[in-house]
Amino acid sequence: MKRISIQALIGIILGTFIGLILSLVFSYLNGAKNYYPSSPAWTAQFSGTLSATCISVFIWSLIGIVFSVGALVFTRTDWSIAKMTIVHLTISYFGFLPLAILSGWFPLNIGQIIGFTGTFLVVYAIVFSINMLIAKNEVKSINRKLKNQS
Amino acid sequence: MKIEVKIIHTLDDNTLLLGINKRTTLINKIIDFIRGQDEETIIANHNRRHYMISLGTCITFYTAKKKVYTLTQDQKELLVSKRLYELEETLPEAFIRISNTEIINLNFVKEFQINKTGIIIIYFKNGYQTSSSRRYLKKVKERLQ
Repeated sequence: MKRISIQALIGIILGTFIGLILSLVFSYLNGAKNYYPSSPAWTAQFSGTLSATCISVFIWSLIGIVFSVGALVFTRTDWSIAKMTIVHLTISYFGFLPLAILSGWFPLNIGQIIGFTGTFLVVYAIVFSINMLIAKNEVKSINRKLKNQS
Repeated sequence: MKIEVKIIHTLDDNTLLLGINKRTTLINKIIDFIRGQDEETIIANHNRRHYMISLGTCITFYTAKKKVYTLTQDQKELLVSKRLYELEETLPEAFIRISNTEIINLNFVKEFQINKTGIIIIYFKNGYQTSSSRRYLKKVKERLQ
């Protein structure tokens, strides 16, 4: 529990920091003179930039918590790689998707969600394969050393 | 018992000559004790009886229901009164931790394998098998240098 709290705190700090940097970059990229915490259309829903930024910081913190607490899954090295990957995918997908929609990062339509889900699955398939490859090589080199000993 | 120690220079190194006129249970006990001094042993329980077991015959030490057991070469399961972390510090080089609940004797390992879902399985020469946490693999590899 203590570990989760520390991890959550790190998530809040990191989430806010990354959110701030990204929103600054995108504000400049859009050629705006004023700061927008998210897309101009999303920001316009609020009475002013102050409350829009406030809500954004809150959402960024929650996104940070999802990923930093989710990362604890990767310390469960007694789980199979498949279980570890699937649990992490579930936590980050169902944690991140609603928050990304809430923060106005992409419009709520089927095409976008399918694209987002596809990207997620591809990334996790790559993560699974890399972890399997690393473990396989580790096992191979251990077996080689075992043979050399006997 | 009268004890006399004589230095005999013609004896080989590490040889003890016991001069007795008759084998008795006491003499046998002494011989067992001397033998026990030479190899590393551990006290373990089975059916409420204590046994002195040579560590060279122990395949694994593992925790189950907060108790520590050892499995010997002849498939005997005995209760050990030490905790796993204590054993980790005192056991000889051949023993290494492979998960939060187990320390194995590498001398009995046949091979390591990884299954399709990514679980590390360790096969032993006597047919025993167990699984390892990936976190400890690196240390196992280093030990095998």
